[in-house]
Amino acid sequence: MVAEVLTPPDEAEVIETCGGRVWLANGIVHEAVDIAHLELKHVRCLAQGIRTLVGDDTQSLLLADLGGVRSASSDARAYSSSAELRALVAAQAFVVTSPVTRVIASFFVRVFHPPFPVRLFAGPDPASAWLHGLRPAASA
Amino acid sequence: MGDPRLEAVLNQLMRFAGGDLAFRGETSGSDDELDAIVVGLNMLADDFLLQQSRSRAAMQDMADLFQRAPVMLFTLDITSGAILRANGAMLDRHGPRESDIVGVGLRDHVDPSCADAFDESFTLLRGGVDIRGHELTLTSHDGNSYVALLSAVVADDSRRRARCTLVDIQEHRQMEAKLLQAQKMEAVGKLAGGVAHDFNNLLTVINNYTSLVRMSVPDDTEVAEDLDCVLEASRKAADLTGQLLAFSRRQVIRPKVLQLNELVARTHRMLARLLGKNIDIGLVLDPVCWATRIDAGQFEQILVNLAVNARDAMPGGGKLMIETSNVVLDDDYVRTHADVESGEYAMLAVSDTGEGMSPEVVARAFEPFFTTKPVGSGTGLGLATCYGIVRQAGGHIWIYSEVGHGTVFKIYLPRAGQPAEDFPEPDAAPPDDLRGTETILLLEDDEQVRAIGARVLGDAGYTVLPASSGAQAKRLFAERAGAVDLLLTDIVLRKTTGHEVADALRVDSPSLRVIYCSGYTDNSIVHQGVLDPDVDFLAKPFLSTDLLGAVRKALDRNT
Ligand SMILES: Nc1ncnc2c1ncn2[C@@H]1O[C@H](COP(=O)(O)OP(=O)(O)OP(=O)(O)O)[C@@H](O)[C@H]1O
Ligand SMILES: [Mg+2]
Repeated sequence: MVAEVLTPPDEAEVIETCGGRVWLANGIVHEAVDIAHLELKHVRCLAQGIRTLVGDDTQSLLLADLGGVRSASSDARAYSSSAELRALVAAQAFVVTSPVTRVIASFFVRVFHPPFPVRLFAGPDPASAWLHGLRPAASA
Repeated sequence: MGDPRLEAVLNQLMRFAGGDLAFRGETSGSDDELDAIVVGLNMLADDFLLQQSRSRAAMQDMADLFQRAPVMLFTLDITSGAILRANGAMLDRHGPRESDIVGVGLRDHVDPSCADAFDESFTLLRGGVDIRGHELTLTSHDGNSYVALLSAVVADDSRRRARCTLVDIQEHRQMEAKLLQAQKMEAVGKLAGGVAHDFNNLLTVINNYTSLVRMSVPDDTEVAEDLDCVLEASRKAADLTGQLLAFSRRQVIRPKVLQLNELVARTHRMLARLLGKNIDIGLVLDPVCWATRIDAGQFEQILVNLAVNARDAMPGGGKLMIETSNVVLDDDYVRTHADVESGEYAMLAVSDTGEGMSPEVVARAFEPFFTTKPVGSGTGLGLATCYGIVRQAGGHIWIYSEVGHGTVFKIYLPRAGQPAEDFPEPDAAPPDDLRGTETILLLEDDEQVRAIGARVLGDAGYTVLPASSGAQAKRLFAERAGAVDLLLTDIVLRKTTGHEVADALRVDSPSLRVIYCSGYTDNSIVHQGVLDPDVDFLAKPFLSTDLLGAVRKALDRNT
């Protein structure tokens, strides 16, 4: 299955990882996660993709589309509140387009409490707008 | 029944309710609300299992820490005072069985002498107040008492239980007491050393003027007898300051690497004479006993002092045992004995079958002037002297004594890194003719000692240049360029040291003869009281014959 909403613009450099594709557009790191059963190794791959894209010492605004995800293991979700990810992410928006991704994203957020601002959105535009609104506080 | 997918969700919930948290529901792939519920339930079960295994591990860690912690841990019922749970350390001390502790009042383990203090602490606890480090004496299951610090925190959840720790500080207390005693000895030693210095100068003056007067009166007169009494008394006073100096580790010594057995063998014969017929002497000497670095004369002093004490403790006769052996003091030993370093030691044990000492006497035995003997028969310096000598040699001395049974002194002397040297030769007799005509620069800052020194040397024919300071000595030396044959100098001077002055003069006259003289030492030519080899030294207080003998010896040596 593939991410339904987010697609990279033609000019963007796209990093393919074992957990999905990662690219930079409008100062926001986009993540299209197309793994049905998301595990720790996949989220690690995605994090590595972000590093390749922006470097080790930048905290990015992150927009993630869980379109292809049908389940996520506990440790994959726990990773979202790890110090490792905190070093990479300034704020994160999830685009959720089905009841299943909504539940999964909620579990990401509510159970393990990531140490940065996180919100769920039904589409990419309000999600980007929210992230841009946070921009003065973070450098993209 | 309705929708089979709804039924499947219900089934999953029932399984969870039955405790089967490993069960996972299947989604239909339609991505609708029902799928979302199944995914959510699956994740809830995942997370629950993860948390469960984490908290199990944490509980296991806690239980393990509780069981194995080296301090005593337990919980207490505040209402009844009974112990509810106790860890391994607590069982070791107050068990050994669980039933010896659990359900038993903590008060039952408290030493009766401490019951009131415990009741006070317990009253606080009952009032909901935490207690921290209350000192208690407890009695362990083997009947031994020990001091411990009790802390207790009232449990927030029930207010009927307290979580308690008991930390054994018995060893710590004992160490503290020993350290305090060692510090006290150190302080008294410093004081004694200072007094002895001034005393030795005074004795030098008294001695020598008395001798001068004595020489001018005929032998068989009353005045001559009186003067002999003065001389005898000042000789005794000199012995006393010598002991004080040994105690304060300020005695000037010439240590050599010597075998303990050889030292014992050389003193043994003299001891037999000292102890008399009623006391048997037994020797148990380790044939391969290690060598140690010590002054032979001082070692003799130790053995004589211990033997005389043993004799006094065995008025009806008995047995004196002298043993030597090699021992290694390990870190465990060091931990429980203040001021001891681990390592290899040659050990000397001197034991008697005498009346022994009470713990109170043992505690003070090494203090200078501590004696239980009638006025006039003991000065209380014997053991203080032994203590100082042993400490100066880098060793340790311990007493084990039981009233009515006897006493053992153990002396540990550090093993020397080198093989034993030849035994020191006794001092050669002074030359017959003590007179001379050489020129002697006499540097001494005590005016009276300088005056008597100059008088004695002058009477013997020498030309004396008295100097009261290093600067004056250097000036006199320069004025008489080349004419000075010998520098006789005190070691400890007000602004400088004899050593520094001698070095300065030797720049121009490398062959200048030097005699150092002192009543006590600091570290100028003597390092921690240890003389450099081949240094001429004259101990204060000296008699005129000592002075003249030392001068002649230094001048006549052909080097
Ligand atoms: N072997 C011993 N047995 C029993 N008591 C002893 C023994 N050795 C020492 N003591 C006790 O320790 C005290 C101090 O001994 P120490 O040798 O320092 O002084 P002293 O013998 O009293 O006097 P001094 O040695 O100066 O003549 C003694 O008075 C005695 O009570
Ligand atoms: Mg004595």
